[in-house]
Amino acid sequence: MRAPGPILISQEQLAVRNQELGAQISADYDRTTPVLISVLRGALYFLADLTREISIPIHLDLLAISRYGEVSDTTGIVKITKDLDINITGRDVLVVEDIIDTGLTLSYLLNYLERRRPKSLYVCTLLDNRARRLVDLPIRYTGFQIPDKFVVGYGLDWHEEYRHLPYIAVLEDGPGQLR
Amino acid sequence: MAVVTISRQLGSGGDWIARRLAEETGYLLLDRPKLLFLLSEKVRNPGRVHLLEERAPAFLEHLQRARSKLDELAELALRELASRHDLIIVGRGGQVLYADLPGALHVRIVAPLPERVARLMADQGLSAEEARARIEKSDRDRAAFLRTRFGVEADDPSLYHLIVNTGRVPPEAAVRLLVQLLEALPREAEAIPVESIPSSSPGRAAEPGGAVSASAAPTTTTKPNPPTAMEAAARAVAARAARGLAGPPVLPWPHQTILGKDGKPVFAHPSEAEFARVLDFYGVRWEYEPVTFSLAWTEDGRVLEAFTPDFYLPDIQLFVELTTMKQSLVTKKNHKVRRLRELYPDLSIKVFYSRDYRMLLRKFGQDSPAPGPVPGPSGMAATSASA
Repeated sequence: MRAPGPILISQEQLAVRNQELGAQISADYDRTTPVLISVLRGALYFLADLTREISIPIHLDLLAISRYGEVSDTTGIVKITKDLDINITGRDVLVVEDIIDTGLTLSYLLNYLERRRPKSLYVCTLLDNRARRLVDLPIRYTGFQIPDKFVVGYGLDWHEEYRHLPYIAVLEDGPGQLR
Repeated sequence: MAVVTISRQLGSGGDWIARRLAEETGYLLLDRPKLLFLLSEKVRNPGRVHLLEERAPAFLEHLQRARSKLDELAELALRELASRHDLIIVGRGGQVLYADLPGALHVRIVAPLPERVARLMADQGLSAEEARARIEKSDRDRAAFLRTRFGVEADDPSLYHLIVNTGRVPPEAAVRLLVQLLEALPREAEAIPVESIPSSSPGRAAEPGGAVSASAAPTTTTKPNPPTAMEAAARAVAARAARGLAGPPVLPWPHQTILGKDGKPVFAHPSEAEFARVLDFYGVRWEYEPVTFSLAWTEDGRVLEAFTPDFYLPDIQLFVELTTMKQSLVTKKNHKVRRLRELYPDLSIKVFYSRDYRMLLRKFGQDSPAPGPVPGPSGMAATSASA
């Protein structure tokens, strides 16, 4: 498939970084069995690759939340549309995210998870775009700091397109496409 | 923290005593020439305030409100400072503002009129007549301030723990006396929580002019009482004062937000309404255009340039300015934000540029998925990426 724009992070770079993050997480959580939690759907590719680089026992769970602007949403307020199946009270929890920019979603999510009283709660994000950050968050692991560009691929989409690209590319503003 | 308030007659040596006491004790001195919030009286003339009010619905009424709000902001700044520093507050109604504060010491410095005249003549090279006229005016003004603002008489002895008459007690002796007294008094070990400080200001929740959107999201946990925009501005003012910086002569003042029939603010731009909806969605509370900051002024306190950030987010104590307009305006706004940061380095402000905003919408699927015109705020359906 043709890249929608310049490749920002190659497949090889992703693999190397996943190995490094996996090793780091394995070392940091070697005395416990952490629960890794991801939010559907953007982080799935990262979650799958990252967890296969982790050498300690882990548990996995998934959350889904409503997104701003969804037609099905009439309340104007974010909702959990798929809750956790694992009880995280007293557990070490690591939230695995694809990208953090404003921090609004993750801030909401961390507040939500904190109320379940986990033993610890940290964040691992593949991409961090600090330029647009509104809310500061406890990010423990960062794959890549990225410039202030709109990126797609490796789980990240634009209107459901480009998710399955094996690399991360910049979606450029094409004439007539985006403004 | 300890607070000493010094109320003084002009020409009594009270200002000198306050300065020397600060040197001896290391307390932070809040005197009139040094601190900007003491100078807020410079905009007492409400005619100056209105110059930058872009929208003033009920003109006179609003101006009167703005005037008393300025006093409130000065008081907020004082309370904020007192929660962090040992203070010596000269004038400004400190003896009333901190009347019930545990550990506060209220001192009044007076002198017989001939002594005051003589001191003023020596200090400022005035004739006896000029000195007397100035004293009379000062007595009148200070009495009027305390009477109108706090409903007390400056000469009421029950307001003070100690009244020193420098007609008999030399100022240097008064300083020694005060130092000894402070050493002898039991010291408050803990910092005074801001909440315990007597307040005459309105509550923290929504108030006219600062429409606070109460988050309806039940699952959001936020700090119970995050500072409002006015309080954040007061903190920034206080932080500037604590750094020993002389301040702008005009304090930030509350901007008057126009509310629509639904009780929600009338936004100046559709992008602001959209931004507010995004914040609502994620349970982030906001205030719309809550405070105006003066950026440039004349010597007599007339405001030449001012800036009202679009949003304040109390939970993260952040001001946000959206710039979705053309480049020439962006440059102007950048200048204003830079100037604001220079004036108040402790204030957090984030500029959301047109590009950031566009990406935010794109992130939320609010841009166009196909060639063609970009739809309005209520446009698109598909969404996916996380923010």
